[in-house]
Amino acid sequence: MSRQALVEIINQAVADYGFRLAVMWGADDIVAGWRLTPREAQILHELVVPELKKLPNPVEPADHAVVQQRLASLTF
Amino acid sequence: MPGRLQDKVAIITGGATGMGRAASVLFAREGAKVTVADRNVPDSRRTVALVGEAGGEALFVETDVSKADQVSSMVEQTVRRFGGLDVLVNNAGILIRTPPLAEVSELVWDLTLDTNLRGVFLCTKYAIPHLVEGGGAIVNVSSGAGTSPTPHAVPYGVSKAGVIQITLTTSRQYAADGIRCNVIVPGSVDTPQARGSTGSAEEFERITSRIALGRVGTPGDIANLMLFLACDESSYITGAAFKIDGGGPV
Repeated sequence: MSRQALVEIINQAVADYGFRLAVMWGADDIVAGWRLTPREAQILHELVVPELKKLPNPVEPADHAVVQQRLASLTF
Repeated sequence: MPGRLQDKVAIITGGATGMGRAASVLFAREGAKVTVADRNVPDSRRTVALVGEAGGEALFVETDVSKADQVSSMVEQTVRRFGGLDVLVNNAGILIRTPPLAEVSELVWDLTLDTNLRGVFLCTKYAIPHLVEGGGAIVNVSSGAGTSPTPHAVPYGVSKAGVIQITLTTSRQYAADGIRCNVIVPGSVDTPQARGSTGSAEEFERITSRIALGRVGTPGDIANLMLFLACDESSYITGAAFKIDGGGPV
């Protein structure tokens, strides 16, 4: 189990728009590349990706930590 | 008056937003039938709607350009729907910011190269058999990052350098078949990707305020060059790289 992997994916997706695009529109590649478990894949697809699609572009650096924490809380 | 791409059929990858969307609408206004190929479904549907509002016709095919089966299917659907293929615009790409090379994640390297370079390879590979039937044009999209060091985005710069190389090779190998292949090398352009990859609105304004012509490029600026390279006005041009950056930063 690597909740840490999910959190790392979220953190980078919040801070980097290009990576966010890769997650939003290629989540299956992220699941395979990061070797996420079926449960983690489900969280990514059903909870994380919809939230990423709502984020502004870019998320301003001053807001990174708050947004990252909010999205990381989805992984519990 | 007939358009500059009257009755031509064009595939534009990355057509959901930015330069790809601008090219889709412009090509349609100039008489082309357009396939919008992208992974981003909602924004692609918006592009198709904009093409319709412009009086044109577009087909959306959800496509990950790094997947051969999806690319092959996208090309086949285009030919089946519109009766052929005349123009391919390899515009899809992503820019993921990275640390110095030794710290770059192999996964991020693969994600970038898969979309930006493998995608150009696959789309070109599957389009060429149809282009050979009647000549045609391939317009690739590189970046200023492909011709200079890119310490903030190592895989991106490498991928965009590769796009220039694949353009040169494709142009040479298929010139006798009447296929032209050229590459656009944009500088700063006001797209969602460019705004996102600079990291903050303030940084985007700082970078774009230094451009010699005094403004950032628009997707329409790039689409105009794509149109020129796609239509017969550029019939004696192949294997060429076109920098379009407002004179670059000063």
